[in-house]
Amino acid sequence: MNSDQVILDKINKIMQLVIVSSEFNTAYKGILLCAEKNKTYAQPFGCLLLAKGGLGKTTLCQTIVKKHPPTYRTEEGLKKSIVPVFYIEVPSPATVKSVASCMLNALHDPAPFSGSTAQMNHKLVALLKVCETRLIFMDEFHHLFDLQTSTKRMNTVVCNWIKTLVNETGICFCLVGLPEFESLLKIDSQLARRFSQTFKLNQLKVTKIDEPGTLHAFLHQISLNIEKYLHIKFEPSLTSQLLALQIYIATNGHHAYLMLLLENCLFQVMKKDSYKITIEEFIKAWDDGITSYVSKTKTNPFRLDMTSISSKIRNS
Amino acid sequence: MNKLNFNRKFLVIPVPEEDEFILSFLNRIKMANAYPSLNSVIKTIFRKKISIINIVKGNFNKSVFYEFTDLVEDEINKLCITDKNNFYIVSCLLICPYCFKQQSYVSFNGYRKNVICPTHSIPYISRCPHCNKLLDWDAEKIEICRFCKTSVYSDISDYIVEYDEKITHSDIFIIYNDFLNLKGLSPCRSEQYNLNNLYKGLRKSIDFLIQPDSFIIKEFRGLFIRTDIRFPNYKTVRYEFFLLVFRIIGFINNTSSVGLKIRESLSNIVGSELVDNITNNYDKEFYNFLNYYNENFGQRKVDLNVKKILNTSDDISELIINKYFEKYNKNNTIKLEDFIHFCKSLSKNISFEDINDDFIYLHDFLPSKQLELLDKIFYGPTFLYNFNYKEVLMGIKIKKVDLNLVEKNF
Repeated sequence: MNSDQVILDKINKIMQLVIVSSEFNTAYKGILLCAEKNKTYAQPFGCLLLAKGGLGKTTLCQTIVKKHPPTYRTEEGLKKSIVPVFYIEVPSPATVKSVASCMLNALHDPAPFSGSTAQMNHKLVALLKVCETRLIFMDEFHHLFDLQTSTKRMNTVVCNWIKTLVNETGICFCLVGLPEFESLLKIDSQLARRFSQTFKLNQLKVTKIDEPGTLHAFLHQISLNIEKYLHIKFEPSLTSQLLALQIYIATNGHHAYLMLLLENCLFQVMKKDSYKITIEEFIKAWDDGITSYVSKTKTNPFRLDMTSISSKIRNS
Repeated sequence: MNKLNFNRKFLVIPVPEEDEFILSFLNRIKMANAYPSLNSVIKTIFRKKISIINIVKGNFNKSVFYEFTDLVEDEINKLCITDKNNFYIVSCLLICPYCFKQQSYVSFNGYRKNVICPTHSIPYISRCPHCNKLLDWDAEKIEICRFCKTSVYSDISDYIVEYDEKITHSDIFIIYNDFLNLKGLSPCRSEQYNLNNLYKGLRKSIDFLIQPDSFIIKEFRGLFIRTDIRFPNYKTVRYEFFLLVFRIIGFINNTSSVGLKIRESLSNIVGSELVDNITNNYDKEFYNFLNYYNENFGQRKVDLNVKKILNTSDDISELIINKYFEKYNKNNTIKLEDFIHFCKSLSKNISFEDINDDFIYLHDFLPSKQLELLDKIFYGPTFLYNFNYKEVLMGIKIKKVDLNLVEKNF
């Protein structure tokens, strides 16, 4: 294994650590409560998890899936796979057959793509019951809409099939996607009723110039993780007021971009066998254009002083 | 994140029962995992179509099977049937309806040859007892006939075969398979017999074992009539007669405690001396019979209780009996030749169509098989019926060169 690969593996461990915010926690608990309600009540409870790209939707789903791994149980002469939660991405184009086969694949059926649509549907319903599945994440649910037309029509065939599946299995479905599709989904009153609960994940925020808000907590946890696992320190501290605001300006509070920025900095210092991340690494990372898509400024924020940063935040 | 999964196990795998048949195990996988057919399960495992018979015999890659079912090779072998002498190696269903009702899996015990269910005394069935259609592994529930929608275990108590403790399944099936001519009553594949006919046949076999007289007399009558119709050659009739005697003595030797009863009946008809001779020296007598039938058996005296053989309420037959057997003496013996004349007169009422099934033409076989059969016929006890010298002569070829040589010499 070459030295770059070793470095990447080490950084990857940091990137895999999930940093929990209060919004994240609320959504985590809320989704699991929905699944519990389905177990108890006759009426199906679905939910929506909405956030813009890079704000941790997939991370949240994966955290819940990992916390509820598949197990085996033998009862009444049958050795059953118990799959309490699984995650799929709604395929594009979405058809009943493609969505059903995606679900069978996620369940780990050995022949997820064989059979007619009716046979697949029959198999899926039976296996969801026997595998005691309580919660299904359907990411990229905007694939249920025809985005080619200006009107953004809903794929009624698949949506109706999902409604029937929800009714037949009594499982909690969590549709995961972008906030702008919520209103489109809720045009259909039956779908709106089935997915009444909505959880949102927002960008990291600074409430005031001198109070970095959720961003501060997030940065604090990351710096602890990096110091603990990689023995690398930040100078100035990652939670220092100026650096935190510079990061905010650079990433617009997007978790994913913030992590990309830090990944770049970590790679730079580890390549140099150094254990200290300074403002120089941030400057270079920004110059590499990693965060240019979301950045609030066209000039490198890590070269700006507190006054310029404050003015940019106020203007944005 | 929708990665292709590398798990190959079925999500639900039944724990195989001790005596479970492999197709039953696969069928339970099919039901538990909601697959559409047995073939779809097989195709999922082996990634291609594979003959179900090969699955039954265990001719498949056991390590691939393990990946999908968690069963190791020994466990898989226990589910398969390889002993073709004692089992039917077939893919159809063979079940005791009552056992299936109790245990919901198909045991390989139903595939044993020549047995009825030891627990419920009912023949193993492959067809619906109500509409006679073949039962199907791919039916929604295999115990419900997919044609008449009736459960296989409803209203079948009439088919319970009751029999004396002394009679064994082996005895019953020896008689059923080798003695009673039940051809035409059921499909030619014995494992797919219709339950009604199978029950009747088994019942007849049991009746035979309890009281064999009437059955043996009927066989002898049939023999004399059958052989004399087309072939008024006494030697043939004698041959067939002795063959039948040997057959019955063969049964007596093979059956358990009920053999004595059959022997008594046979002795009443052909005389105890003949039966004793053949029984005591079976192999030697049979060898002699096969080698010298055309010489010795024509001379052998047989004490036939003909009146008993021909015992009938038919008035016309009575008249014929009177006409032909005026000559028989006080010892109740009769010459075989006279008896054959009598049979010939009875034969007028029988058409050839009735016996066509008993024959096959040699030219119906492939040429290579014909040669092989001719070789066996030459050394064996088979008779060539309808042997016609004219037809044989028409087929003889002589090389012209040889003919010239012959003519020159003469």
